[in-house]
Amino acid sequence: MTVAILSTGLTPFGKRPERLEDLLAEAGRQAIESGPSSSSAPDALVVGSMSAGSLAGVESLAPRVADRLGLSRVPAWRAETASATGAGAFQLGAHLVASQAFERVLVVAGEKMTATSTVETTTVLSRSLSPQEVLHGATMPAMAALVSQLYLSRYGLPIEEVAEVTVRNRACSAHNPRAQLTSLVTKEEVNRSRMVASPLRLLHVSAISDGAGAVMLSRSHDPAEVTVRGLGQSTEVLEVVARPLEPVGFRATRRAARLAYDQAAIGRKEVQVAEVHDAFAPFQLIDLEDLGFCGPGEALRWTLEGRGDPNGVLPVNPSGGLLGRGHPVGVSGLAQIIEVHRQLLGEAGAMQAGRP
Amino acid sequence: MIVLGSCLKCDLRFVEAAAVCPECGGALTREERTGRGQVIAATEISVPPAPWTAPHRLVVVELEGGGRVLAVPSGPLPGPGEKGAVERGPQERLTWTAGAGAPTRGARASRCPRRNGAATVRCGDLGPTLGASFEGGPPPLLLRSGPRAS
Repeated sequence: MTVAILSTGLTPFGKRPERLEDLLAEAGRQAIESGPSSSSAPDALVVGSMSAGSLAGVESLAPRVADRLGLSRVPAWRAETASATGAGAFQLGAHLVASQAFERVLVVAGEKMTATSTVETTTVLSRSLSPQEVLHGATMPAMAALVSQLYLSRYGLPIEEVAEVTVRNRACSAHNPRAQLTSLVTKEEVNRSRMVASPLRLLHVSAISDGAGAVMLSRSHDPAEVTVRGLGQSTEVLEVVARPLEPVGFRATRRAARLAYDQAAIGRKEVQVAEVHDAFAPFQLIDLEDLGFCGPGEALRWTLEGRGDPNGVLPVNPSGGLLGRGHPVGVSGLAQIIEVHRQLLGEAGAMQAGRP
Repeated sequence: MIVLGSCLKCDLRFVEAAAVCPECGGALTREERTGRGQVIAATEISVPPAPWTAPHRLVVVELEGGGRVLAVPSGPLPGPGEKGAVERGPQERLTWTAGAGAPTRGARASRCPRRNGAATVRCGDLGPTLGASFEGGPPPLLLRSGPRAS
């Protein structure tokens, strides 16, 4: 059974006045209406959101979105895997199709993060950390700062040079009409931006954002369709400081990548474009190593050499990544898939990788 | 003294309360540490969650005898490599103090004699603890009881 991505929808990211369920419906409608024919109405719905109740004050999200899309009669579920929620919802949708339980599944994911203050949003997001870390006042940026520091010190890398990740991703998001941050930044601006959680500065950190995305999945009937070759997912011990330190990185990413590569029966060298989770600039470097594109400690040099640029050997985050697009936590994983889908179709416009 | 959960199967050490190893589901024993150790990472947060106020600081401490903990430093932000000790304070929070702590001889792990055989180990099965102070009663037990530990 081969699963195809029939169509996609993606709202602009940023501070949006709409309610979360309306953002989700906007993206879902785009995916339904841009499908190959009117027969592409879904027979199942998966809705992803990380913290809809706390950040947007809304529960029972799946039926609410179904209502808005005129899909109240189809089975609908909500999926949540923290910052990977969008990807998790996609994976569930793909399995629903692959299992032949459903012919067409609409996957929508989104987050509304700007209705609450920065402190409130930060506090809500921190609840996904281990209780032991929350007890000590940890936040997502704080834990990211600690992991980043361990990574940088392990390989003797200067944080000042990591600014290049932001500079390059922002150069890409300048071409992304749906990105929250479309202005260019310099290395000096990154390194002078205010400290959020040392050594991470404001411009090392993806922005709090609103947005939603959607994909329509179906059994593949046309060889020209973009199909899902491999999927991988893994979780990790919640207590971050308990995780093994060698190599510094994320075992969940490494396990998930191995699963996806094995299922697709391809190696990392056959990957032609990648969207990776750069919620924090050093994480892009760690991801590149965990995904096997670079050896341990080599990703910064690899990046500085331009190998991940849109015209490099492996374009990385040509959409601008989370650092440029913004990071509505529940949709970022799905937005990455949508951006890659557009790349594979050659429909990424000015963001198209491989252009001279 | 700091109590860590330790997996009899995969050797993961952690602080979080757990009935089984979060890594592999294996049975747990517990290990005591004096709290002495070395900072391996530190951060200062500009927007901490309530009820903390800025600037809020956190450190990751590599404990003598093995294991890592997250703690709040009592003073200025320490740098990586700085030595000191972690103590358990109010509400079970861990506080880091530079240059403080008990003699290093207490850093030896307390291992269960059944480590290589038992499926589940009760707290009472723990061997004697060298150097760990039990004055004032038993140490706080963070590990929830396993199936046989009730």
